[in-house]
Amino acid sequence: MTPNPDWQEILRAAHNDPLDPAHYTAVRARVLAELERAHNPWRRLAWISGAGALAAALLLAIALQHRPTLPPLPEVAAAIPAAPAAPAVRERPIQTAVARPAPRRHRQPLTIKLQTSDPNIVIYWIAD
Amino acid sequence: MSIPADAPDGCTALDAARAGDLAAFDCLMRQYERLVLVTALRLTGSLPDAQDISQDVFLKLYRNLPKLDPACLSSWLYRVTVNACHDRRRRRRPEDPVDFAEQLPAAAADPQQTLAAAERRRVLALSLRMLPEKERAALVLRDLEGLSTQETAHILGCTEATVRSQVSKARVKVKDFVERYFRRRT
Repeated sequence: MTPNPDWQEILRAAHNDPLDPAHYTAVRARVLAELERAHNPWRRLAWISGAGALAAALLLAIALQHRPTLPPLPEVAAAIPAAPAAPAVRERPIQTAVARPAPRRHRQPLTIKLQTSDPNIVIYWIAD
Repeated sequence: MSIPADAPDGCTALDAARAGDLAAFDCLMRQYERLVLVTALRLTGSLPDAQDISQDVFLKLYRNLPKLDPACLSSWLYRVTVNACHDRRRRRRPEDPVDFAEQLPAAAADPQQTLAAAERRRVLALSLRMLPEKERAALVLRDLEGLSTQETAHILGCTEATVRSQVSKARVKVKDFVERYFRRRT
C-alpha cells in the first residue's frame, strides 16, 4: 500500500473486487427453493398427508403390538355324553274327524293352609 | 456510470418469468445478483445479512413482476435493497454485534495482492461502518455504484440537493478516516 493513497480509488477498487460466485449461487438456490415450494402446494400437501398416514399406521402397529394378550382357554376334559336315542314312535293314522272338546274332569280345588303365630288361628286358602 | 441498462434479453427473461418460468427467473437473478448482493453487503457490512436481504429482494421481485416496468428494473431493485437494509438495521437491536464484511476473494491470487485486497476491503468496511445510515446509502450509490445524483435521489426518495449534501459529508468523513488509517500504518 502506498503511504498516501487516493482514498476514492481504494474504496472503488475494494468495491469492485469480485465476490466469490458461491455467494451468488447460494442466494439463487434459496430463492428458487422458496419459489418451488410456493409453486407446488399440492406436492407439499401430499407430503403432509403421506407423513400423517405413515404416522397413523405406525401408531396402529405399536398399539396392536402392546395389546394385552389373554391366556389360552383351558380345554374341557369332561366329554359330553351322547344324547340317548329317541324312542321309536309308532305312527298313528291321522283322524279327520272333528275333535270334540275334551270332557272336563273334576279336579280337587287347591287348598293352602296358612298357620299363624296364634295356634288358634289357621287360615285356609282355597284356590279354584 | 449510471443505472445498468436493462438489456433486451432481460426483457425476454422478464416476460418468461412473468409467465411463471423459474428458469427464466433464474436468468433474471443472474443478471441483477451483483447489483443486489454487493449493494446490500456495503450497506449492512455483513455477508449473511446481505444474502438474506438479497433473497427477500428477489422474492419481492418475483411477486411484483406483473406490475414492474422493465425499464425501471435496476432502479426498483436498488430502492428495494436500500429499504430492506434500512429495515433490517432498524430491527436489529443496538447491542447485536454486526459481523463486518470479510468477503472472500473470488480467486486465489498472488499472496501480496491478496493481502492488499484484503486491506482495501477492510478499509472500505470500516469507513462505511462509521457513517450514518443515510450518508452511507448516498455514498454507496453515488461513489461506489457510480449512479448519478439524480438517480441516487430517485432511489433514496429525496432531493438532489439532499444527496449532494449527504455525499459531501460522507466523503469528508471517509477521506479523513482513510488518510488517518494509512498514516497510522506507515
